[in-house]
Amino acid sequence: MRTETLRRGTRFSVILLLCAAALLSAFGQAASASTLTVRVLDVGQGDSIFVCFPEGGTMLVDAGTAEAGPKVVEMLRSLEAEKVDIIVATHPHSDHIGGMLAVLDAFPVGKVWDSGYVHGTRTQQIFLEAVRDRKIRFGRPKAGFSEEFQGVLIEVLAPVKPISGTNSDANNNSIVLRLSFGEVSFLLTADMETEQRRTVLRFPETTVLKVAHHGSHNGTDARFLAMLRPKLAIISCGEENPYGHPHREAVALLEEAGVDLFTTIGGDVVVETDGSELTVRKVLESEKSGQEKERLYIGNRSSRVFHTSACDGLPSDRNRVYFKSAEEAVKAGYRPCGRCVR
Amino acid sequence: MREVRSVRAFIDSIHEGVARVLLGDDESLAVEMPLDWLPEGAAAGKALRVLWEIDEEETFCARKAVEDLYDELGDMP
Repeated sequence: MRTETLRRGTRFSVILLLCAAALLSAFGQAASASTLTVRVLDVGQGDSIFVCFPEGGTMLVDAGTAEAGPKVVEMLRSLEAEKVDIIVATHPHSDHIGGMLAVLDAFPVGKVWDSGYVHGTRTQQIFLEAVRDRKIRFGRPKAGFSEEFQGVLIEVLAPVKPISGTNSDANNNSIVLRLSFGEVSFLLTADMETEQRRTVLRFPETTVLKVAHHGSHNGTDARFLAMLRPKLAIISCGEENPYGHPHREAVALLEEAGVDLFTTIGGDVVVETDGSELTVRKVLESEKSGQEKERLYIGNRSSRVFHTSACDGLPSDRNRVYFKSAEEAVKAGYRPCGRCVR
Repeated sequence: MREVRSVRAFIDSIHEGVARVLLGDDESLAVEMPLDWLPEGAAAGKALRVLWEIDEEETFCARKAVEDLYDELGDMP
């Protein structure tokens, strides 16, 4: 366990608990009352952030790729989530909304906030149809919109206005959120790039920054960091991704700014706060809760085939049965999937 | 006139109806796809030519479908 007081922090002592086995027993428990927990999930190359509010409410900001969707669902279940109060689809790229269908299938959802950017993929269409068919309240909040939820102020800082003609208009029309709880704040920047960043006149100081666009060079600049003065930054990206994320320019800027930097490579990054102090820990994939390990193999009641949890051919929730081992699945009369079970 | 570009591809393997296709001259990108997406005669060891062109009509239809859904869903954050 490592404890350090941050350079510019006045009251914030950040306790960095790196893979602390002692805390893993608390992994599966929902956040305690008066605690805000922001968990940046390891979904490979993509984004998914699960927020537990002080009174037990929940918000999911993005859901990773379609392949990551079942993993997001399993994670939420392991955290004993029974519903998602707010889903935010920051923008329609598949590494952000691909997993939404799995989440909508698994949990009741209070409402959906969407960027409103028309991309046109089947992934976007199917997501919106699923929201419509389930009659979920739906909105496209813009800069200036805010809502107080269970003691946490949720503010939308972007989109300020529609942006077009950029290298990635979808990224540059992202929903950018700020969460404030007591003296602690989080800036969730989605895949905002330079053009969208310039439309926001002023970014308030922020304790924790979810670095924009997976740590791309176009998601961060020195002026932006000088405004934010973050104490902690988290980059969500996959290991050895084809884009080279995080880019060294972005990492260098964060290091020069003296920010403590975490990535989701190999595990979730979990930040808890009581509104005054922060606790940060990284939970490695290999050290996740027993509950999740017990769900290593997933059988299909209909086809009697079993898969690993990472398989892209997992059955729908209603057809699922879980096994602790391949042997157990075979004994139960299931046969292994030819693609994922070796 | 619509530009069409082509890319070399190679069928690396086929297992249980799934074809693993290597794309590009350097075969740097591997894509798995249902075998029935490939033309008749597709087999492991066969070279393919993939043709790409922008489909403006489909682009318009896809965007229109999403715009219509946004209209249906309304806007009530």
